[in-house]
Amino acid sequence: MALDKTVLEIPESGYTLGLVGESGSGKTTLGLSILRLIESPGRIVSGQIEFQERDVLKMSNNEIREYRWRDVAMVYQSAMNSLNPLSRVVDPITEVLRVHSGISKQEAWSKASSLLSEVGIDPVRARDYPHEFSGGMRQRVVIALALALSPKLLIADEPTSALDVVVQKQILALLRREVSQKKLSLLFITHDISILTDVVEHVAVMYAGEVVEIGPVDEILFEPLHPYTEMLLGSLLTVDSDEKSLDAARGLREPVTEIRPDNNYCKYVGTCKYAFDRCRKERPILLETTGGRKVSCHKYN
Amino acid sequence: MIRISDLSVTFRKSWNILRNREVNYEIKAVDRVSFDIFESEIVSLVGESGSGKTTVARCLLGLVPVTGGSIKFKDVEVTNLKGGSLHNYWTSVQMIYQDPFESLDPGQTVHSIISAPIRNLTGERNPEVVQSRVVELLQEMDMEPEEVMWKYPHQLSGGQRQRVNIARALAANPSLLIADEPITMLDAAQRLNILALLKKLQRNRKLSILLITHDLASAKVMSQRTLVMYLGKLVENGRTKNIMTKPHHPYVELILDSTPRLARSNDRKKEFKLTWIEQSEKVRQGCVFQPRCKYATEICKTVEPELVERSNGDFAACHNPLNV
Repeated sequence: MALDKTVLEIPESGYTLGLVGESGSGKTTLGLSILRLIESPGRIVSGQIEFQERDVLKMSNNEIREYRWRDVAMVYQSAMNSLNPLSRVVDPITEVLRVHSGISKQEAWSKASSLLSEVGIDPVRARDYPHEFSGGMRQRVVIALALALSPKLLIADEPTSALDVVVQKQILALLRREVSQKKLSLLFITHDISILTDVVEHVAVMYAGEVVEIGPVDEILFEPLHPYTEMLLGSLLTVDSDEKSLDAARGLREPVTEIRPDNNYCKYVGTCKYAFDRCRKERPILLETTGGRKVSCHKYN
Repeated sequence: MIRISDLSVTFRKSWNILRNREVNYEIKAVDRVSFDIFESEIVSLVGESGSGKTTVARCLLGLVPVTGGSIKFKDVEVTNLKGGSLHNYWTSVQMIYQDPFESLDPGQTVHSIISAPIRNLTGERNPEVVQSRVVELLQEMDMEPEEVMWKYPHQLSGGQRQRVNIARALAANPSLLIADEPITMLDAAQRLNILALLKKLQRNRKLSILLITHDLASAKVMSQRTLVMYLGKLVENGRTKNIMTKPHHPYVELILDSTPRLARSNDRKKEFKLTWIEQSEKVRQGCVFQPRCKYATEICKTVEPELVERSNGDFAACHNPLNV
């Protein structure tokens, strides 16, 4: 079971939400579900996904084909390695434009070229093949591809994980610019909580298939409420850390990944240093606290 | 303990294409790199992919033919070792890799994986002794031997797999452990655990560790000395604290600037100035970093800078060093 009664909301255009959690937390599964890309043997068992008041789970095949890429687009993990090595980099972009907008070849080329320059790739290189580009450049091609039909929501799943810090900084700046100029909404999925201030305004923290905390990025990072968020932040290493930061390793445990349906206890109870009796008997739900923060923890309830 | 002098590794490829025209292809993966590793110290080797850091590691293990220079382990030249003497050298130097899953044989139990080097490198044949060594090693890795010993790699978490890799590498009690991006594929909590474990092992075993990473934060908490490589060259070598606060080389300044820090969003300027400069392919003369360097002057285009001491114990290869 990858997702367990998860709740998430992106209220308006231009809203940027970071989704952070360790592997096994369900964050990638959540991203894929929004596009209804969960492949068998996985299934969406229950719940609802609504996009602009349309029920995504009930869409017909034609409707979902319109919805994908036009309304919601995704840059997924290792996307830069998924470019067809036998196609020139411009080809997937022109293909998407022609199939979904029915424009002519010339128009598609011209639009594709301008998309490439928008992400900093000289259109002169449009006819080159993926292997002639560096990892960072390929990732930008994939971003151009995702933005081709001007979607309203972009889901980016670990878009910079395989890249060096210098290139990462540029890619995050590119995403910020696109969001700002196009009023694009962004769901940024990552396990690296430290890059979130660079790219999103709100953060949702996931643990064992559930969203356990939501709030503005500065508050989540500097005043975390949920004990798991506290732990995540405590295990962060930056250039400002020193040897003593390693002491935090004592008491860090691997996250729970085996999820049983209908559990009637808090999944974090095994590791939580604040756990009390109620935590073992009752499952917490995501509730709003004073101050507009949302947290799923009995400490605040 | 280990002295690397002018180490160079050039990968060449040439082939004949139509009408006997020969095409030559040369990449200087490592270009005259020199540094020392002392007993019981942790040294970080930092660089982007393509910097040559992994190639240096593989040279230290005798896995890559060296084109020039030398590597001396306790005053003995090791770049030309073969056969029995290379095998023997592997009881002194070992390596763990980035992908904890790919490094383990999926068809062997943890016990089997760790016993192999005990038998092959130390020559121990008695199965009871081997078993007790495996148990000792697993305990040293802060794992419960009975819980893990008979499991297969796919039944372990990423952090556990990496511990098995470390146990295996330490089976023959080497003096130097090379860790090539050991935490890159692990999650936050697992990373901290593995780094803390490596620190503990360094203290208890008087082990030297060469930590290869592209992440400055790990270098900062682990090592007292940091080396920075760029496109095959060693551009800075100094005390970690100094490099992280007042680097001499512009490339190090660039990485520091790009490394995410925990800062409130309104504390940072949200500029959209995007400059897409990438590592260049080949620089014919002068400094390898010059095309990307905002401090470059005329001399940088023609004369290659030498690694020179710029402040107490800190060396940088730059014509216009910072913070001097």
